[in-house]
Amino acid sequence: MEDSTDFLATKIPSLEKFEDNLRCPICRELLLRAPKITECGHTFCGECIDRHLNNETRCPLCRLEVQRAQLRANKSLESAVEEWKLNRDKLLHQLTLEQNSNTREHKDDNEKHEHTGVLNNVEIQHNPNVKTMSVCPICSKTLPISEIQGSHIDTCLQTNSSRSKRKRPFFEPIPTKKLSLPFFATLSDAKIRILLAENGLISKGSRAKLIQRFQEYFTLYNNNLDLKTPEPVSNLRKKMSLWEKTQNNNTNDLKELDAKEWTSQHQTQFDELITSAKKTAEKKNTPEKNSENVINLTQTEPQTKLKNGEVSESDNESEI
Amino acid sequence: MPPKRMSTAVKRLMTEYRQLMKDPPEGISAGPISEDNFLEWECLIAGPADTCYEGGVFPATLVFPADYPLNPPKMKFVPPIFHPNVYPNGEVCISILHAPGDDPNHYESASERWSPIQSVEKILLSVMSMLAEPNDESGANIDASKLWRDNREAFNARVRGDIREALGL
Repeated sequence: MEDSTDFLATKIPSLEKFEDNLRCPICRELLLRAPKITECGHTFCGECIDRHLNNETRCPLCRLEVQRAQLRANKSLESAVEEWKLNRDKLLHQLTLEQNSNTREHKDDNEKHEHTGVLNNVEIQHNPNVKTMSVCPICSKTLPISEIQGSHIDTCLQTNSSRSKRKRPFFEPIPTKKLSLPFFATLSDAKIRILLAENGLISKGSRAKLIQRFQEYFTLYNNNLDLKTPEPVSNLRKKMSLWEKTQNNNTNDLKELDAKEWTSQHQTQFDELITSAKKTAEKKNTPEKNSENVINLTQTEPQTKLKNGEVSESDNESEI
Repeated sequence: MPPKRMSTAVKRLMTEYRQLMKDPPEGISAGPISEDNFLEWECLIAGPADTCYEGGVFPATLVFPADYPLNPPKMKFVPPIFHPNVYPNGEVCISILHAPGDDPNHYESASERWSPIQSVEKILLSVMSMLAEPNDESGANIDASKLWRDNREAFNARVRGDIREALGL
Protein backbone atom coordinates (compact mmCIF):
# COMPACT_ATOMS: atom_id res chain seq x y z
CA MET A 1 0.00 0.00 0.00
CA GLU A 2 1.21 3.46 -0.83
CA ASP A 3 -0.44 6.85 -0.79
CA SER A 4 0.50 10.49 -0.93
CA THR A 5 0.83 10.78 2.85
CA ASP A 6 4.05 8.72 2.51
CA PHE A 7 5.73 12.06 1.85
CA LEU A 8 4.50 13.70 5.04
CA ALA A 9 7.35 12.17 7.04
CA THR A 10 10.04 13.24 4.57
CA LYS A 11 12.22 16.28 4.11
CA ILE A 12 9.71 17.80 1.66
CA PRO A 13 6.25 17.15 3.13
CA SER A 14 4.58 19.35 0.51
CA LEU A 15 5.22 16.59 -2.04
CA GLU A 16 2.11 15.05 -0.53
CA LYS A 17 0.01 17.73 -2.23
CA PHE A 18 2.01 17.32 -5.42
CA GLU A 19 1.38 13.60 -5.55
CA ASP A 20 -2.28 14.09 -4.69
CA ASN A 21 -2.63 15.76 -8.07
CA LEU A 22 -1.11 12.74 -9.80
CA ARG A 23 -3.78 10.51 -8.30
CA CYS A 24 -7.33 9.87 -9.41
CA PRO A 25 -9.67 11.77 -7.07
CA ILE A 26 -12.10 8.83 -7.22
CA CYS A 27 -9.97 5.74 -6.49
CA ARG A 28 -6.85 7.57 -5.17
CA GLU A 29 -4.53 5.42 -7.32
CA LEU A 30 -1.81 6.97 -9.47
CA LEU A 31 -3.20 8.06 -12.87
CA LEU A 32 -1.51 5.25 -14.79
CA ARG A 33 -4.51 3.53 -16.31
CA ALA A 34 -5.48 5.55 -19.40
CA PRO A 35 -6.44 8.76 -17.59
CA LYS A 36 -9.14 10.89 -19.21
CA ILE A 37 -9.63 14.63 -19.03
CA THR A 38 -13.06 16.23 -18.92
CA GLU A 39 -14.12 19.40 -20.73
CA CYS A 40 -13.81 21.24 -17.42
CA GLY A 41 -10.15 20.16 -17.27
CA HIS A 42 -10.22 17.54 -14.51
CA THR A 43 -8.50 14.18 -14.92
CA PHE A 44 -9.62 10.77 -13.64
CA CYS A 45 -8.84 7.13 -14.42
CA GLY A 46 -10.80 6.20 -17.54
CA GLU A 47 -12.60 3.43 -15.68
CA CYS A 48 -13.47 5.57 -12.67
CA ILE A 49 -15.00 8.47 -14.59
CA ASP A 50 -16.88 6.04 -16.87
CA ARG A 51 -18.47 4.31 -13.89
CA HIS A 52 -19.31 7.62 -12.31
CA LEU A 53 -21.03 8.79 -15.49
CA ASN A 54 -23.43 5.83 -15.27
CA ASN A 55 -24.57 7.44 -12.00
CA GLU A 56 -24.48 11.14 -12.69
CA THR A 57 -23.40 13.17 -15.74
CA ARG A 58 -21.48 15.79 -13.78
CA CYS A 59 -17.81 16.24 -12.94
CA PRO A 60 -17.14 14.86 -9.43
CA LEU A 61 -14.87 17.83 -8.69
CA CYS A 62 -16.69 20.88 -10.04
CA ARG A 63 -20.12 19.43 -10.91
CA LEU A 64 -20.15 20.81 -14.43
CA GLU A 65 -22.02 18.75 -17.01
CA VAL A 66 -19.78 16.02 -18.53
CA GLN A 67 -20.55 13.82 -21.55
CA ARG A 68 -18.81 10.48 -22.03
CA ALA A 69 -18.19 11.28 -25.71
CA GLN A 70 -16.27 14.43 -24.80
CA LEU A 71 -13.73 12.70 -22.56
CA ARG A 72 -10.20 12.75 -23.99
CA ALA A 73 -7.09 10.80 -23.11
CA ASN A 74 -4.67 12.89 -21.04
CA LYS A 75 -1.47 11.46 -22.48
CA SER A 76 1.04 14.03 -21.22
CA LEU A 77 -0.12 13.53 -17.68
CA GLU A 78 -0.05 9.76 -18.11
CA SER A 79 3.60 9.92 -19.21
CA ALA A 80 4.46 12.27 -16.36
CA VAL A 81 2.86 9.92 -13.85
CA GLU A 82 4.74 6.97 -15.36
CA GLU A 83 8.03 8.78 -14.83
CA TRP A 84 6.98 9.73 -11.32
CA LYS A 85 6.09 6.12 -10.53
CA LEU A 86 9.49 4.91 -11.78
CA ASN A 87 11.30 7.32 -9.48
CA ARG A 88 8.88 7.48 -6.60
CA ASP A 89 10.42 4.84 -4.36
CA LYS A 90 13.94 6.08 -4.98
CA LEU A 91 12.89 9.61 -4.15
CA LEU A 92 10.96 8.58 -1.08
CA HIS A 93 13.89 6.52 0.12
CA GLN A 94 16.33 9.36 -0.46
CA LEU A 95 14.17 11.97 1.24
CA THR A 96 13.55 9.74 4.23
CA LEU A 97 17.25 8.91 4.58
CA GLU A 98 18.28 12.56 4.48
CA GLN A 99 15.55 13.41 6.94
CA ASN A 100 16.68 10.69 9.35
CA SER A 101 20.37 11.47 9.14
CA ASN A 102 19.62 15.16 9.68
CA THR A 103 17.58 14.57 12.79
CA ARG A 104 20.13 12.15 14.12
CA GLU A 105 22.96 14.63 13.73
CA HIS A 106 20.79 17.19 15.39
CA LYS A 107 20.00 14.96 18.32
CA ASP A 108 23.62 13.95 18.77
CA ASP A 109 24.64 17.59 18.84
CA ASN A 110 22.17 18.32 21.58
CA GLU A 111 23.12 15.33 23.57
CA LYS A 112 26.80 16.16 23.51
CA HIS A 113 25.93 19.37 25.24
CA GLU A 114 23.30 18.14 27.62
CA HIS A 115 23.73 14.48 28.39
CA THR A 116 26.37 12.06 29.48
CA GLY A 117 27.99 9.57 27.17
CA VAL A 118 25.91 6.73 28.58
CA LEU A 119 22.72 8.23 27.30
CA ASN A 120 24.38 8.81 23.95
CA ASN A 121 25.15 5.13 23.64
CA VAL A 122 21.60 4.17 24.43
CA GLU A 123 20.42 6.49 21.69
CA ILE A 124 22.78 4.98 19.17
CA GLN A 125 21.85 1.44 20.06
CA HIS A 126 18.23 2.41 19.80
CA ASN A 127 18.28 4.06 16.42
CA PRO A 128 19.65 1.44 14.01
CA ASN A 129 16.79 -0.97 14.63
CA VAL A 130 14.20 1.55 13.60
CA LYS A 131 16.02 3.36 10.86
CA THR A 132 17.74 0.68 8.86
CA MET A 133 14.49 -1.06 8.00
CA SER A 134 12.96 -0.15 4.67
CA VAL A 135 10.36 -1.32 2.23
CA CYS A 136 11.49 -3.15 -0.92
CA PRO A 137 10.20 -1.19 -3.91
CA ILE A 138 9.42 -4.37 -5.81
CA CYS A 139 7.79 -6.80 -3.42
CA SER A 140 6.89 -4.27 -0.66
CA LYS A 141 8.37 -6.44 2.09
CA THR A 142 9.95 -4.63 5.01
CA LEU A 143 13.60 -5.66 5.26
CA PRO A 144 16.86 -4.21 6.56
CA ILE A 145 18.22 -1.64 4.11
CA SER A 146 21.53 -3.46 3.86
CA GLU A 147 19.75 -6.55 2.65
CA ILE A 148 17.61 -4.64 0.15
CA GLN A 149 20.62 -2.84 -1.28
CA GLY A 150 22.56 -6.06 -1.36
CA SER A 151 21.18 -9.23 -2.85
CA HIS A 152 17.48 -8.78 -2.26
CA ILE A 153 16.61 -6.37 -5.09
CA ASP A 154 18.32 -8.53 -7.69
CA THR A 155 16.60 -11.73 -6.67
CA CYS A 156 13.34 -9.88 -6.24
CA LEU A 157 13.53 -8.41 -9.75
CA GLN A 158 14.41 -11.76 -11.25
CA THR A 159 11.62 -13.70 -9.59
CA ASN A 160 9.06 -11.01 -10.38
CA SER A 161 9.93 -10.71 -14.04
CA SER A 162 10.10 -14.46 -14.56
CA ARG A 163 6.77 -14.76 -12.81
CA SER A 164 5.10 -12.27 -15.11
CA LYS A 165 6.59 -14.03 -18.10
CA ARG A 166 5.26 -17.35 -16.91
CA LYS A 167 1.83 -15.85 -16.50
CA ARG A 168 1.31 -15.35 -20.21
CA PRO A 169 3.05 -18.25 -21.92
CA PHE A 170 0.66 -18.40 -24.87
CA PHE A 171 -0.24 -15.61 -27.15
CA GLU A 172 -3.74 -14.49 -26.42
CA PRO A 173 -5.19 -12.13 -29.03
CA ILE A 174 -6.01 -8.65 -27.74
CA PRO A 175 -9.23 -7.24 -29.18
CA THR A 176 -8.97 -4.01 -31.11
CA LYS A 177 -12.55 -2.90 -31.59
CA LYS A 178 -14.39 -1.12 -28.81
CA LEU A 179 -17.82 -2.14 -27.57
CA SER A 180 -20.69 0.22 -28.11
CA LEU A 181 -23.15 0.92 -25.32
CA PRO A 182 -26.66 0.00 -26.50
CA PHE A 183 -29.66 2.17 -25.69
CA PHE A 184 -31.10 -0.13 -23.03
CA ALA A 185 -34.56 1.43 -22.99
CA THR A 186 -35.24 -0.01 -26.45
CA LEU A 187 -33.97 -3.52 -25.62
CA SER A 188 -36.02 -6.34 -24.11
CA ASP A 189 -34.62 -8.33 -21.19
CA ALA A 190 -34.10 -11.28 -23.53
CA LYS A 191 -31.99 -9.18 -25.90
CA ILE A 192 -29.83 -7.87 -23.06
CA ARG A 193 -29.34 -11.48 -21.92
CA ILE A 194 -28.21 -12.46 -25.42
CA LEU A 195 -25.82 -9.51 -25.48
CA LEU A 196 -24.33 -10.60 -22.15
CA ALA A 197 -24.05 -14.21 -23.26
CA GLU A 198 -22.30 -13.16 -26.47
CA ASN A 199 -19.64 -11.51 -24.35
CA GLY A 200 -19.26 -14.57 -22.14
CA LEU A 201 -21.00 -12.98 -19.17
CA ILE A 202 -23.60 -14.29 -16.74
CA SER A 203 -27.09 -13.60 -18.11
CA LYS A 204 -29.10 -14.12 -14.93
CA GLY A 205 -30.67 -11.57 -12.64
CA SER A 206 -33.08 -8.67 -12.67
CA ARG A 207 -33.18 -6.19 -15.56
CA ALA A 208 -31.36 -3.59 -13.47
CA LYS A 209 -28.64 -6.12 -12.64
CA LEU A 210 -28.31 -7.13 -16.32
CA ILE A 211 -27.81 -3.51 -17.33
CA GLN A 212 -25.35 -2.84 -14.50
CA ARG A 213 -23.38 -5.92 -15.49
CA PHE A 214 -23.12 -4.87 -19.12
CA GLN A 215 -22.17 -1.31 -18.14
CA GLU A 216 -19.39 -2.62 -15.91
CA TYR A 217 -18.08 -4.88 -18.66
CA PHE A 218 -18.33 -2.05 -21.18
CA THR A 219 -16.28 0.17 -18.83
CA LEU A 220 -13.62 -2.48 -18.25
CA TYR A 221 -13.44 -3.52 -21.90
CA ASN A 222 -13.19 -0.12 -23.55
CA ASN A 223 -10.83 1.36 -20.99
CA ASN A 224 -8.64 -1.71 -21.28
CA LEU A 225 -8.17 -0.93 -24.96
CA ASP A 226 -7.02 2.59 -24.05
CA LEU A 227 -4.20 1.19 -21.91
CA LYS A 228 -0.71 1.22 -23.33
CA THR A 229 -0.53 -2.53 -22.85
CA PRO A 230 -4.08 -3.89 -22.90
CA GLU A 231 -4.82 -7.06 -20.98
CA PRO A 232 -6.30 -10.16 -22.61
CA VAL A 233 -10.05 -10.65 -22.37
CA SER A 234 -9.61 -13.53 -19.92
CA ASN A 235 -8.30 -11.02 -17.34
CA LEU A 236 -11.38 -8.86 -17.83
CA ARG A 237 -13.57 -11.90 -17.19
CA LYS A 238 -11.69 -12.47 -13.92
CA LYS A 239 -12.38 -8.87 -12.95
CA MET A 240 -16.03 -9.41 -13.77
CA SER A 241 -16.22 -12.44 -11.49
CA LEU A 242 -14.76 -10.31 -8.69
CA TRP A 243 -17.40 -7.70 -9.46
CA GLU A 244 -20.13 -10.35 -9.20
CA LYS A 245 -18.82 -11.37 -5.78
CA THR A 246 -18.80 -7.83 -4.42
CA GLN A 247 -22.35 -7.38 -5.70
CA ASN A 248 -23.60 -10.41 -3.79
CA ASN A 249 -21.85 -9.42 -0.59
CA ASN A 250 -23.70 -6.19 -0.42
CA THR A 251 -26.41 -7.41 1.92
CA ASN A 252 -25.24 -5.50 4.94
CA ASP A 253 -27.00 -2.26 4.01
CA LEU A 254 -28.61 -0.44 6.87
CA LYS A 255 -32.34 -1.01 6.90
CA GLU A 256 -34.19 1.74 5.08
CA LEU A 257 -36.88 3.54 7.03
CA ASP A 258 -39.89 1.57 5.78
CA ALA A 259 -42.97 3.78 5.60
CA LYS A 260 -45.43 0.87 5.76
CA GLU A 261 -43.74 -0.72 8.73
CA TRP A 262 -43.58 2.60 10.52
CA THR A 263 -47.28 3.23 9.86
CA SER A 264 -48.34 -0.17 11.15
CA GLN A 265 -46.16 0.16 14.25
CA HIS A 266 -47.60 3.53 15.14
CA GLN A 267 -51.14 2.96 13.90
CA THR A 268 -52.70 3.55 17.32
CA GLN A 269 -50.84 6.84 17.78
CA PHE A 270 -51.85 8.03 14.35
CA ASP A 271 -55.47 7.08 15.07
CA GLU A 272 -55.38 9.02 18.33
CA LEU A 273 -53.92 12.05 16.59
CA ILE A 274 -56.55 11.87 13.85
CA THR A 275 -59.43 11.65 16.30
CA SER A 276 -58.07 14.50 18.40
CA ALA A 277 -57.56 16.57 15.25
CA LYS A 278 -61.15 15.86 14.22
CA LYS A 279 -62.36 16.94 17.64
CA THR A 280 -60.36 20.15 17.34
CA ALA A 281 -61.90 20.82 13.98
CA GLU A 282 -65.41 20.25 15.38
CA LYS A 283 -64.79 22.43 18.38
CA LYS A 284 -63.37 25.21 16.26
CA ASN A 285 -66.92 25.75 15.12
CA THR A 286 -67.81 26.54 18.75
CA PRO A 287 -65.15 29.19 19.43
CA GLU A 288 -65.60 29.35 23.26
CA LYS A 289 -63.91 25.99 23.88
CA ASN A 290 -60.80 26.66 21.83
CA SER A 291 -58.53 27.24 24.80
CA GLU A 292 -59.32 23.82 26.29
CA ASN A 293 -58.20 22.09 23.13
CA VAL A 294 -54.82 23.66 23.19
CA ILE A 295 -54.26 22.34 26.69
CA ASN A 296 -55.41 18.87 25.67
CA LEU A 297 -53.01 18.75 22.75
CA THR A 298 -49.99 19.85 24.73
CA GLN A 299 -50.77 17.21 27.32
CA THR A 300 -50.87 14.36 24.87
CA GLU A 301 -47.67 15.35 23.09
CA PRO A 302 -45.07 14.36 25.71
CA GLN A 303 -46.59 10.87 25.86
CA THR A 304 -46.18 10.27 22.16
CA LYS A 305 -42.66 11.56 22.42
CA LEU A 306 -41.78 8.99 25.02
CA LYS A 307 -43.33 6.21 23.00
CA ASN A 308 -41.40 7.25 19.94
CA GLY A 309 -38.16 7.15 21.84
CA GLU A 310 -38.80 3.68 23.25
CA VAL A 311 -39.84 2.20 19.95
CA SER A 312 -36.88 3.56 18.04
CA GLU A 313 -34.47 2.19 20.61
CA SER A 314 -35.86 -1.32 20.41
CA ASP A 315 -35.87 -1.03 16.58
CA ASN A 316 -32.26 -0.30 16.76
CA GLU A 317 -31.43 -3.30 18.90
CA SER A 318 -33.20 -5.70 16.60
CA GLU A 319 -31.28 -4.36 13.61
CA ILE A 320 -27.96 -4.92 15.25
CA MET B 1 1.44 -6.33 -0.30
CA PRO B 2 -2.34 -6.65 -0.39
CA PRO B 3 -3.79 -9.37 -2.61
CA LYS B 4 -4.12 -8.26 -6.21
CA ARG B 5 -7.80 -8.91 -6.69
CA MET B 6 -9.56 -6.39 -4.50
CA SER B 7 -12.56 -4.31 -5.32
CA THR B 8 -12.11 -0.57 -5.87
CA ALA B 9 -14.22 0.07 -2.78
CA VAL B 10 -11.96 -1.97 -0.52
CA LYS B 11 -8.75 -0.53 -1.99
CA ARG B 12 -9.98 3.00 -1.59
CA LEU B 13 -11.17 2.33 1.99
CA MET B 14 -7.80 0.82 2.88
CA THR B 15 -6.10 3.97 1.60
CA GLU B 16 -8.45 6.17 3.56
CA TYR B 17 -7.92 4.11 6.71
CA ARG B 18 -4.15 4.36 6.29
CA GLN B 19 -4.37 8.13 5.88
CA LEU B 20 -6.67 8.52 8.88
CA MET B 21 -4.22 6.58 11.02
CA LYS B 22 -1.26 8.65 9.87
CA ASP B 23 -2.81 12.07 9.98
CA PRO B 24 -5.92 11.90 12.16
CA PRO B 25 -8.15 14.99 12.31
CA GLU B 26 -8.91 16.28 15.79
CA GLY B 27 -11.88 14.81 17.59
CA ILE B 28 -12.38 11.97 15.16
CA SER B 29 -11.39 8.34 15.15
CA ALA B 30 -12.58 5.78 12.60
CA GLY B 31 -11.70 2.36 11.24
CA PRO B 32 -13.14 -0.94 10.04
CA ILE B 33 -14.81 -3.07 12.71
CA SER B 34 -12.97 -6.15 11.45
CA GLU B 35 -10.13 -6.61 8.98
CA ASP B 36 -12.26 -9.14 7.09
CA ASN B 37 -14.89 -6.62 6.11
CA PHE B 38 -13.70 -3.20 5.07
CA LEU B 39 -17.25 -2.12 4.19
CA GLU B 40 -18.31 -1.69 7.83
CA TRP B 41 -16.63 0.93 9.97
CA GLU B 42 -16.98 2.13 13.48
CA CYS B 43 -16.20 5.71 14.42
CA LEU B 44 -16.08 7.96 17.42
CA ILE B 45 -16.89 11.64 17.24
CA ALA B 46 -16.09 14.08 20.03
CA GLY B 47 -18.74 16.70 20.69
CA PRO B 48 -17.50 20.08 19.40
CA ALA B 49 -16.33 22.60 22.01
CA ASP B 50 -18.69 25.41 23.05
CA THR B 51 -21.78 23.44 22.09
CA CYS B 52 -24.17 21.42 24.23
CA TYR B 53 -22.51 18.28 22.81
CA GLU B 54 -19.14 19.25 24.31
CA GLY B 55 -17.65 16.54 26.50
CA GLY B 56 -19.60 13.78 24.81
CA VAL B 57 -18.09 11.01 22.70
CA PHE B 58 -20.55 9.62 20.19
CA PRO B 59 -20.04 6.19 18.62
CA ALA B 60 -21.45 5.61 15.15
CA THR B 61 -21.29 3.02 12.37
CA LEU B 62 -20.59 3.63 8.70
CA VAL B 63 -21.80 1.06 6.16
CA PHE B 64 -20.34 1.42 2.66
CA PRO B 65 -21.99 0.22 -0.57
CA ALA B 66 -20.09 -2.20 -2.83
CA ASP B 67 -19.63 0.59 -5.39
CA TYR B 68 -18.13 3.11 -2.91
CA PRO B 69 -17.00 5.85 -3.63
CA LEU B 70 -19.54 6.17 -6.44
CA ASN B 71 -22.28 6.06 -3.82
CA PRO B 72 -22.16 7.32 -0.23
CA PRO B 73 -22.08 5.20 2.94
CA LYS B 74 -24.86 5.25 5.51
CA MET B 75 -24.08 6.59 8.92
CA LYS B 76 -25.89 5.70 12.12
CA PHE B 77 -25.29 6.78 15.69
CA VAL B 78 -25.36 3.76 18.01
CA PRO B 79 -27.05 4.51 20.39
CA PRO B 80 -29.10 7.23 18.64
CA ILE B 81 -28.39 10.81 19.68
CA PHE B 82 -30.94 13.57 20.20
CA HIS B 83 -30.38 15.99 17.33
CA PRO B 84 -32.64 17.68 14.74
CA ASN B 85 -30.82 16.00 11.82
CA VAL B 86 -30.56 12.49 13.27
CA TYR B 87 -33.52 10.14 12.85
CA PRO B 88 -34.88 8.55 16.06
CA ASN B 89 -33.21 5.28 14.92
CA GLY B 90 -29.82 7.02 14.85
CA GLU B 91 -29.43 7.42 11.08
CA VAL B 92 -27.74 10.67 10.09
CA CYS B 93 -29.50 12.90 7.56
CA ILE B 94 -27.11 15.39 5.96
CA SER B 95 -26.72 16.41 2.36
CA ILE B 96 -23.17 15.05 1.94
CA LEU B 97 -24.58 11.54 2.57
CA HIS B 98 -27.25 11.84 -0.12
CA ALA B 99 -26.55 10.34 -3.54
CA PRO B 100 -26.92 12.72 -6.50
CA GLY B 101 -30.31 11.39 -7.54
CA ASP B 102 -31.86 11.17 -4.13
CA ASP B 103 -33.02 14.22 -2.25
CA PRO B 104 -35.45 13.31 0.51
CA ASN B 105 -36.18 16.90 1.39
CA HIS B 106 -36.21 18.46 -2.09
CA TYR B 107 -34.19 21.47 -1.14
CA GLU B 108 -30.54 20.51 -1.45
CA SER B 109 -28.50 21.83 -4.33
CA ALA B 110 -26.43 19.26 -6.21
CA SER B 111 -23.24 20.91 -5.01
CA GLU B 112 -23.88 19.89 -1.39
CA ARG B 113 -24.49 16.24 -2.13
CA TRP B 114 -22.29 13.17 -2.36
CA SER B 115 -19.58 13.05 -4.96
CA PRO B 116 -16.94 10.31 -5.31
CA ILE B 117 -14.25 12.80 -4.27
CA GLN B 118 -15.73 12.98 -0.77
CA SER B 119 -14.26 10.77 1.94
CA VAL B 120 -14.80 9.34 5.40
CA GLU B 121 -12.82 12.23 6.81
CA LYS B 122 -14.99 14.82 5.08
CA ILE B 123 -18.18 13.05 6.18
CA LEU B 124 -17.09 13.00 9.81
CA LEU B 125 -16.02 16.65 9.70
CA SER B 126 -19.43 17.52 8.24
CA VAL B 127 -21.13 15.57 11.00
CA MET B 128 -19.10 17.48 13.58
CA SER B 129 -20.23 20.77 12.12
CA MET B 130 -23.78 19.38 12.00
CA LEU B 131 -23.52 18.82 15.77
CA ALA B 132 -22.38 22.39 16.23
CA GLU B 133 -24.98 23.88 13.91
CA PRO B 134 -28.16 21.84 13.40
CA ASN B 135 -30.04 22.53 10.19
CA ASP B 136 -33.65 23.18 11.17
CA GLU B 137 -34.80 23.28 7.55
CA SER B 138 -34.58 19.51 7.23
CA GLY B 139 -35.72 17.93 10.44
CA ALA B 140 -35.13 14.20 10.75
CA ASN B 141 -36.19 14.15 14.39
CA ILE B 142 -39.27 16.35 14.69
CA ASP B 143 -39.24 16.49 18.50
CA ALA B 144 -35.61 17.54 18.54
CA SER B 145 -36.19 20.14 15.81
CA LYS B 146 -39.13 21.66 17.69
CA LEU B 147 -37.31 21.76 20.99
CA TRP B 148 -34.18 23.21 19.36
CA ARG B 149 -36.21 25.94 17.70
CA ASP B 150 -38.64 26.76 20.51
CA ASN B 151 -36.78 26.11 23.74
CA ARG B 152 -33.01 26.08 23.32
CA GLU B 153 -32.39 25.86 27.06
CA ALA B 154 -34.47 22.69 27.39
CA PHE B 155 -32.79 21.24 24.28
CA ASN B 156 -29.32 21.86 25.68
CA ALA B 157 -30.32 20.41 29.05
CA ARG B 158 -31.73 17.27 27.41
CA VAL B 159 -28.54 16.73 25.36
CA ARG B 160 -26.28 17.30 28.37
CA GLY B 161 -28.41 14.87 30.39
CA ASP B 162 -28.02 12.21 27.68
CA ILE B 163 -24.25 12.72 27.64
CA ARG B 164 -23.98 12.43 31.41
CA GLU B 165 -26.09 9.28 31.32
CA ALA B 166 -23.92 7.77 28.56
CA LEU B 167 -20.79 8.50 30.61
CA GLY B 168 -22.43 6.85 33.64
CA LEU B 169 -22.38 10.00 35.77
